[in-house]
Amino acid sequence: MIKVDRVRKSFGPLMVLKDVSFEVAAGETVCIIGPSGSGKSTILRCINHLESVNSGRITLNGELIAYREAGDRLVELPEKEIAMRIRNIGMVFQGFNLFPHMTVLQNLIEAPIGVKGEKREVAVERGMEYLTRVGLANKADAYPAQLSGGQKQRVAIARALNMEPQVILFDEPTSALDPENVNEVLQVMKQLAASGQTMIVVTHEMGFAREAADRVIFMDHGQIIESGSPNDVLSWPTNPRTKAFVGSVL
Amino acid sequence: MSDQTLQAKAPMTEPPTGEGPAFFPVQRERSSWSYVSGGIAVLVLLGALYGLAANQHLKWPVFFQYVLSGPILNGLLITIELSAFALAMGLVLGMFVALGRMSSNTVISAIAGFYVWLLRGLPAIVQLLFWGNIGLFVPTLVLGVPFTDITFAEFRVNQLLTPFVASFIALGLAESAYMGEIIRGGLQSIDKGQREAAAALGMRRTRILWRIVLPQAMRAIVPSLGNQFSNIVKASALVSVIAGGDLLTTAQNIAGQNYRVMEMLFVASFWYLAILALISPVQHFVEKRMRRMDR
Ligand SMILES: Nc1ncnc2c1ncn2[C@@H]1O[C@H](COP(=O)(O)OP(=O)(O)OP(=O)(O)O)[C@@H](O)[C@H]1O
Ligand SMILES: [Mg+2]
Repeated sequence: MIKVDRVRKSFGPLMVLKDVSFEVAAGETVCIIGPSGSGKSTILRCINHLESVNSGRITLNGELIAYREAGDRLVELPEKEIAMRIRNIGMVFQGFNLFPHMTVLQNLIEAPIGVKGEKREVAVERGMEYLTRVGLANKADAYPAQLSGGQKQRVAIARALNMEPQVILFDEPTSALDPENVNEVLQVMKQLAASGQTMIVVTHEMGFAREAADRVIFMDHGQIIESGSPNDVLSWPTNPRTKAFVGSVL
Repeated sequence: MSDQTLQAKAPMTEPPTGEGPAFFPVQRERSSWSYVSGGIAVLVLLGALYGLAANQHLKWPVFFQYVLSGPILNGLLITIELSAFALAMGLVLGMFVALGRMSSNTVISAIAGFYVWLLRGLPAIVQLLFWGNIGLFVPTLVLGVPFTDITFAEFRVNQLLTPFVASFIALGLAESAYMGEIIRGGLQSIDKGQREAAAALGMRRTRILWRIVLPQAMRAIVPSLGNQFSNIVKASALVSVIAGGDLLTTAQNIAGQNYRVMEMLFVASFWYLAILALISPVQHFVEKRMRRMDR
């Protein structure tokens, strides 16, 4: 479904992604792990074009996401067409980024109505279903400031779901949470993974990766060092750098 | 908030028992000097008020005769209209100025920067005189396609730019430069995660601006609107230099006929202060309503 092919990305002189390639099939949950600064956030942000790439191709169902091919070069698409494709890629941020001036339900229906042109009743009905699924139907009329961190993140997941994206990207969704709030979010994400939602999850939660991931990718210094089943990568890593990292977090 | 801190501190009046240095509540002793200075200040104030009230040359009946008179109230209305229109124009144009300054197109942002520099740099009175007298060197205004003979309409500038309109334009343009900077500050104060979350949902730039960033920026902008309005009200008194028909112009016109300059200035002052006194309750009300969303 998602194919990342030899993606390079530099910030000034600093090359953050060095020919990163991987694929995610429909229904798969892929966890990306790795030390701080290894480029995990950057690869997610390149996938939904919050960052541009220097070279390489990122496709969704075989279609380039933010560019078109012109000979051997890539040309950025007009804003409108990029937005059309990105609506199929949900994102959940470390810092929640809920819209503070809107209620929980308004957060959920803003994009389906405004971007997809859905009828309000349709967006509200499905939005309430997703809120029920994340256990927050009773908070529909609350404002984000009235919620705990774990509740905010569950709303953010419901907001992403209400666009019915083909894939959802999670960038350390539990890193900003108090320890007692982490599990409620991971629980929701496990259910989501089990339901067949395609997900790419950057996380430091090895327990989650072991339990929910179909595949684990270990990144370091802008490169994929090792990739495989959770058991292979987390329990029997072959590369010394993976060994060191896995040893340090367990 | 302050209630809570007071309550939290209250038990401290009982010194803790046990070891360690004794702990006593502190009470500042008022020096006798503070009573003397306070007393002097009150005396001076009373003296000044008495001087005003009893001054033989100030005819208070004149003040009361005019303060609610038709022409003054009309001038007051014009001052309020002028200020409100100028604020509205400042807001709308200021929005474009802010977007222009934030534009990634360097030509546009340079032009917007120059605009702000110019209109904030020139004294308001100079701008008023400019717009009030522009009819002298641009007698007609032609709407048409530049460098061709095609014209849609032609206006005599003096008819179009009445003193009221000239005042409105001058105050509104000057205000747009100030508002532009205020709006820009408001827009830039919004966390970039908000734009990113909206973009990730497939929203486009214009929608993100109107639905996500601007409503939040308004919370930073609205509190300053009251201050801006009071600045404009005060600046609008300058309009009297081009006979704008405002409160001060009217008061001065009447003074020119009855020679009661001081009384008429008091009439105008009374109303200026009345407007300003009304602004802060409105401001409080609006801010309170806005704060409801982050209960
Ligand atoms: N906008 C930017 N400008 C310059 N450098 C950046 C920018 N964003 C990220 N970087 C750099 O790119 C490198 C990779 O960053 P990235 O955020 O992708 O790491 P990460 O693996 O997500 O780390 P963490 O676990 O700390 O979130 C870091 O060295 C970071 O300093
Ligand atoms: Mg990161």
